[in-house]
Amino acid sequence: MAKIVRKKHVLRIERLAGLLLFTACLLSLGSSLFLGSFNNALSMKLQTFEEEIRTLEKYNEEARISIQGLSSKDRVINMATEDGMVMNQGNVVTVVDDGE
Amino acid sequence: MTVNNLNKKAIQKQIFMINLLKLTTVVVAFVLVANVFLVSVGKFHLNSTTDLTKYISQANLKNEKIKAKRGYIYDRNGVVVAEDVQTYDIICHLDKNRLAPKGVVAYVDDPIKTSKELAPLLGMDEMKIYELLTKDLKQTELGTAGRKLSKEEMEAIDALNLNGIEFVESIKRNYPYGEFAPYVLGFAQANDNQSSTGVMGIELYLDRQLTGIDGSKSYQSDNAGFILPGMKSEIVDAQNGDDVILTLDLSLQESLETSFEMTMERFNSDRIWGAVMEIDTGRMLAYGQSPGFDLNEKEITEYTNYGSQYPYEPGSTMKAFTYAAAIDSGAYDTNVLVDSSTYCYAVDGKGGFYRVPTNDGRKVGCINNANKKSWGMIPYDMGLVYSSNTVTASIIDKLIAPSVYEDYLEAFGFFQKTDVDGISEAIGTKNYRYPADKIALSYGQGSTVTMLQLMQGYSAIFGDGQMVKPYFIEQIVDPYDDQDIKYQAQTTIVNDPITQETAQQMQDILYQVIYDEKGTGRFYKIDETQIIGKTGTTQVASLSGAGYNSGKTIASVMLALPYDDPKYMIYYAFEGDYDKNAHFNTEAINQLTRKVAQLYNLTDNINSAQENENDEVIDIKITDEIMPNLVNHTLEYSLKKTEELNLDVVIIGNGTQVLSQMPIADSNIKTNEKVFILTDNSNIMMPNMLGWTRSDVTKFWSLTNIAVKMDGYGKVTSQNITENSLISKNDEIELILE
Repeated sequence: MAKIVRKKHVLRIERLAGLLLFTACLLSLGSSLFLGSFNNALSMKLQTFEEEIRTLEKYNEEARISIQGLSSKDRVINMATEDGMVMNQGNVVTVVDDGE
Repeated sequence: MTVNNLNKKAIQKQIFMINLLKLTTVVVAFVLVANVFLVSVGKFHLNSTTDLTKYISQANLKNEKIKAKRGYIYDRNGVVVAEDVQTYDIICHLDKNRLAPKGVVAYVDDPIKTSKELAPLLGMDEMKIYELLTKDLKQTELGTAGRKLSKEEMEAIDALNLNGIEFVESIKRNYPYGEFAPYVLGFAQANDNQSSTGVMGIELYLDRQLTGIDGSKSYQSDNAGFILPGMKSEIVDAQNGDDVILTLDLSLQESLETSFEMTMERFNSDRIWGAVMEIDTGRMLAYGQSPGFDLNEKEITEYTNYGSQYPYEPGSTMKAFTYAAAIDSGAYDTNVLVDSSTYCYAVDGKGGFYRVPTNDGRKVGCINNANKKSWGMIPYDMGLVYSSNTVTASIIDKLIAPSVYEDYLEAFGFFQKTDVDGISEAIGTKNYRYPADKIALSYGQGSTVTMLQLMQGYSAIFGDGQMVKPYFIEQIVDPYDDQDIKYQAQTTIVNDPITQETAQQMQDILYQVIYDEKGTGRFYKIDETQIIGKTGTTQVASLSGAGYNSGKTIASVMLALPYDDPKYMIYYAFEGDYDKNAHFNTEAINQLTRKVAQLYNLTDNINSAQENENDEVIDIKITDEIMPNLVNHTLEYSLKKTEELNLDVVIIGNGTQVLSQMPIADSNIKTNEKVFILTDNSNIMMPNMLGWTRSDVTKFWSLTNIAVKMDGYGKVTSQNITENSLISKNDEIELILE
């Protein structure tokens, strides 16, 4: 009797282990598939953002250059001269920023 | 039995065959599966014994270059003066069979319309574009006009929606300030490698440091261009070039260039050149010439760097060195008088010369002062103040030997390279053989020098006797870590040609050049601070050889400021037709001198002293204060309190007790602001409101409740009620503000 009981016990553990293994394999397969595609999606997202950052950086840089061109001293003076303004050098005062 | 045996055998055979079949199936299946596994896992193709690894790594592999940026060049305050910017090149696709999505024409299908619309935007000839667009090619560019287009230009063309016109990105070296010191900065131009190479100036001199190292990116990607996990991706980052910080100061450089424009307008000069240098360190703060050129346009008409490659007879600015030599060698006595009239000389046959009377038969030549002026017997000092040629001739005749002067010129670095930061330079020509040459060089004629030599030499006179080398490059810095300084300029003391005492004595004489009523530099005074200096006017030798009949002169001036401890020197020269007003119409140079004074805080009190009628120097620092409470205090207390805070008090009424005040207690107030105190409600006298602001008048009204009518904006220029007449609440004060 006792032997039979022991056998049953062993069988139960094996079955449980087998079941666990099977479940684990299934889960692993499933998750690797799922995570893999999730990982891909994330990676694509990351690259899309990086591309967006690059585009914006380029845009900012180009805007900076445009600003630089538009605010050039020569351009301002030309516009002022066209409108009949003249520069009186005697009135020019240089203000120095001491804070720097 | 037999049957049984036979049956048994047949059955056994069948079983064997079945087993064999099973085995074969298993083996075949195993081999197939193994092969697949070997290929997919082991990356090895058994049948052809091919290692697949390298094929896999090459599959769909893309290689891209990551362009390194050329280093930035900054002025001394960190303003970018040279940088790489993104530009666009036009590509015109001409291939009719070029793949395109349905409904899109991906090639230039209408060359006539395309060339017509592109021509004005690119500044190109329409026919030229048409020719290019009708060539039998798959694609074409449009030459230089179609390259390095700015974003705006690209967008303007893109907006035309022309078929087959596309853009590729490119990089251009951009100079945001166009004409900024082109002969120092130089420029870099596009090379075949899609980056820039230095061609001139510091861009060329520091080309190795400015050039970066390109990086690369090789990767595999899916159809949409994404790098998926597990795909190969190798990135080698680009190393941008080092950044360079110059000693030049953008705002001063712009002032220098404004001066050039003013001089050009006033004197119609052929050439102008000038520079500003820090005396103690040799830092060049501004350096330029006219005609110059725009670094972006590069329409260069003049390749000579006037400051370093254009040796010329400097004229009277050279006299300072004659004086410095005499003082430093101990032969100079301020009390001795010298004859400033025409200097005639005889020669001794051994290269020497001596002064003889004008009517002496031995004389071989005579020299005069400018305009044949004479001041009679004068102290030597005044010879420099009046810029007398005959006095400097007397110095190398009576005080020091010509050879001593020659030695000093050597010590001051003339006729040698200054060796400044990769700027190519000429050394000038020394003519010092014959008596006439020696006499001429005592007042800066007969031999030639460069501006850089002059400035280096003067650094000893304006400084403390030590001569410092000018320089343009302050730092070279790692672009990724501004603490990593790869090069830091040091002040180089080239020589100490004179003692500190000599330098001091020279500065005192050079002060009189500006402040003596007959000093040649008297029109260079500025309001901001006191200066010292020396003028020069030279006739330019004619190209045909001997003589000065070219009709051209070089007017020049060397200035230093402030007078009591010179920190900055300015040299300015312009060449053109003789103009007797060269040292009278000095606005162009004065605006530069003023700029230097204002920019570097050299402004002292002489300005306010001149403006203030009482000749009183007012120098009060304006601070923010809190208005104290004066109400219910005595007038005496209130006056004391407001004086402590430097406030401008206006007392209304004749009382002794303060009834009310404006501004009210605890409000913010600034030094010198008007404070109104009401001491009496009835006996109010009309104050002098001239110069009051609207806000002042309003405060007066709110205290007294006397009606005020203000007309205009600004400050009060007239009032209808005369000062000190009694006013009451029934009156109406009328004011005009301007």
